[in-house]
Amino acid sequence: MSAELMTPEWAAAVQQLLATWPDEQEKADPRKTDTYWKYFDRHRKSFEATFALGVSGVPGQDGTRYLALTFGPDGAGPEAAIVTEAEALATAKVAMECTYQTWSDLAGGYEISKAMTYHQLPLTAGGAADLLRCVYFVHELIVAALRPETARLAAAPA
Amino acid sequence: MTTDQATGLSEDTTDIIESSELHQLEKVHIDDVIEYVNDGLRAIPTPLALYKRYLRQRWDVYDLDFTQDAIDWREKMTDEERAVFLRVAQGFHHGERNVEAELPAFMMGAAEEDKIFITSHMEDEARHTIFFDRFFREAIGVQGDSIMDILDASYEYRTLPGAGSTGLLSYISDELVKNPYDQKARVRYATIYHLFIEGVGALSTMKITLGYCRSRGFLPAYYAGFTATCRDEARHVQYGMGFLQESVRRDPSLANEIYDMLRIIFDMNSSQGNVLNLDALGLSVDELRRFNVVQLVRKLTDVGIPLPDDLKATIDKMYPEVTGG
Repeated sequence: MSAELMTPEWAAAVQQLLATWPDEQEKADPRKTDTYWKYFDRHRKSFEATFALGVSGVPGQDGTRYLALTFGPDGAGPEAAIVTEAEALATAKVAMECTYQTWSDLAGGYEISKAMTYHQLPLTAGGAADLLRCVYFVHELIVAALRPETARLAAAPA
Repeated sequence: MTTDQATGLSEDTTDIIESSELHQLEKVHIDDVIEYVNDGLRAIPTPLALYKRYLRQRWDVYDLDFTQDAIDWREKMTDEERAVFLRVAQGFHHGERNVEAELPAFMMGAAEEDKIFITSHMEDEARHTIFFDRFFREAIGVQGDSIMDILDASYEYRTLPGAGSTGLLSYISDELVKNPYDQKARVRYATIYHLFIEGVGALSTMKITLGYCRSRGFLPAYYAGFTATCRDEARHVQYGMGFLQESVRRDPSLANEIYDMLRIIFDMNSSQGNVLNLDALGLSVDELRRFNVVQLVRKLTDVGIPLPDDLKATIDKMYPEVTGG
């Protein structure tokens, strides 16, 4: 059974996915070409910071928890951890947040690019230029973070 | 004429573009309207002069009749032409919507005369959104109960994996909502939107689809409405270049914000390997790239700043982004 959202087990699953990202499933996406993945690799190697992703209103959880993904030199890692909102905003170079409803929609196939366009994934740390500078790298981190949730929702009884 | 050279327009041609009613725009050549965008930059009009021009040039999107367009779409265009056209048109459809929604953030910190013009700009963008909504419904046959239904349907023709420049405008807008008078953020907004999306990307999209329509004699309502849209864009680009020119004149260090945004945009574009094959519409990607470069250099010249060497070195790797707004 897949791990619950915003738990250490879920963070570990995301960390494991990102250790070898992109995986075969993602490489098969015809929209993502070699130049796209070169962009991802280039920004991964130069990021050396923390990206944090928060989800508010998760059932059974108080406050907003964040997944913090910390990359080392030359793209090493990431180390994944679940942190409080205050910790995330104090340490992340770029942080974004969405509601549990948006997160569920994304896990159900709603496009990340739409959520970004329609203000459903606002920045909570870092400036717009910080995000735009590495936006497709961040996009892929969110894709990877969604993967366990997509599997969990798919496995859940209707 | 072509738009690869800055030749300028004759007074007669300028008069025709300036004063044509919607139905008369079917006869105007799109290359002349694109040149009209740049021609007006020689002496950038004031915001109130542009507002007066808006009042004269405003057109009614419900005057268009897409009956012949629907016939052309179903019976005359090839599958390949339709496929490429849809991918190009969806970029503009969403671009118009996104700008309509994000312009209020840019307006908040503007001077009062500028606010008057920007309200007209917002109305233009709303009308352009309706134009594409009608085109997708009435010419292509897309069905939906709401404007968002049609936006969602046209999104299916998108081929980029992530949000493009008009989608990411939302993050610059968020910054301006928090601090409307942040001049650096306002310059970043005008760079990504007025200079790049409208001044470069939108003109490319217009050239692709309107050049195709004109050469084949297809989609007359699309041609008239989108040519009128291009004339509207001339006011928007001229306003934006005036804003950037004045911003840099007052504080030359703001040129660095323009360059920084362009570096980000070039880097994003260079990741877009999923290039449209535009051959079906009669234009090669290389031709479009050259067109983009010419438009970009002309806009920077209008702002009064050169293209730095590092951007010159990367500009040829830029993929033409099919966008607009």
